[in-house]
Amino acid sequence: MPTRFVLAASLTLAGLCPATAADTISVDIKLFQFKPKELEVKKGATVTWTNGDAIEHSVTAGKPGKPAEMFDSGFFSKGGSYAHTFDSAGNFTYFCKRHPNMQATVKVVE
Amino acid sequence: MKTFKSTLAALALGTAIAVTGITGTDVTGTSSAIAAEMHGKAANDLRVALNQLLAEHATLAAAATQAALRGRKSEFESAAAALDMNSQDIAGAIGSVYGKDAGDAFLPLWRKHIGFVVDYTTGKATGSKKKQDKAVQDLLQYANDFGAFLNSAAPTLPKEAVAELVKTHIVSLKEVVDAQAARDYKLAFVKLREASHHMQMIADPLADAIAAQFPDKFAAN
Repeated sequence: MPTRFVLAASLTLAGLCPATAADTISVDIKLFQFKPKELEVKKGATVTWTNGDAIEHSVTAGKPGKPAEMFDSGFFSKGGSYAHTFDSAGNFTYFCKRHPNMQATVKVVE
Repeated sequence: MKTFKSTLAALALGTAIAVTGITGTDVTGTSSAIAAEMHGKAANDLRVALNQLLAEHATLAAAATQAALRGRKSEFESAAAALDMNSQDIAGAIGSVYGKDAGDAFLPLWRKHIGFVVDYTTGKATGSKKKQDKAVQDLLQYANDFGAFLNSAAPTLPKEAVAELVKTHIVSLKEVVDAQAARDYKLAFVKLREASHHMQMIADPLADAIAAQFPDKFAAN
């Protein structure tokens, strides 16, 4: 079995989406969750979040009570989307300001 | 005054329970048992299970608020713990249908409205109209969140209709707490019966929507 496939399968089983070379990666907001919850992308990739819930959500960098300045979508409604390009490597947590239990991570690799 | 202090201490603990679920650990294993039972149930069985869970929610909530209002700390803690087990059962039921992640997302959302009921009860206990009004506003806003969640899970359930049903649930529980605070127990139990019966208005359409969405899982009787 090719090593790459084994690694991808392991990461998927661990709930982590492997880094992708695609320039644009999608994250669904559905049932008050960010899907995938853990995402790995390459530096320079753009992540687009699309709200599938009939309520406003936000995509806000940082953690509840401690937002970071890196990005903040503001609230957007069902069908709306927000995109952010990750220009530097690192682990970036984000959350929804209205529903602070909604939290997820983007890992940006070189 | 001593009663109020005890009440507030208990309510603070209750909020902690609602938020963290620490003492609400499912020691009986009820949640997993119900989740397991949900699979392969006939549509009518699903309806009965959801009705039972939601009616229990109303009954346990009223038991907790009554104990809190009278400052009976130990009784309140036990009622709050039982209420949280019920919350876990409801989330487990949602998770058994829509996946564990959905159940995990549902639980804090559900617990949130219990926290607001605690806030309202605190307002009644302390005579703070401001706190009561804030709690009512939070609860009404919560109704929209809940409507959105169920609409996402089962798109045939209109968000606005679900939100209206949840608002009625909130008002019915508020009437129970108001009667308890006034020591009008005859009225409190009349309102509690109404509140319990009203849960069917949420449980039935939810069960029907789930059964229609997953006919392979929930066969028609």
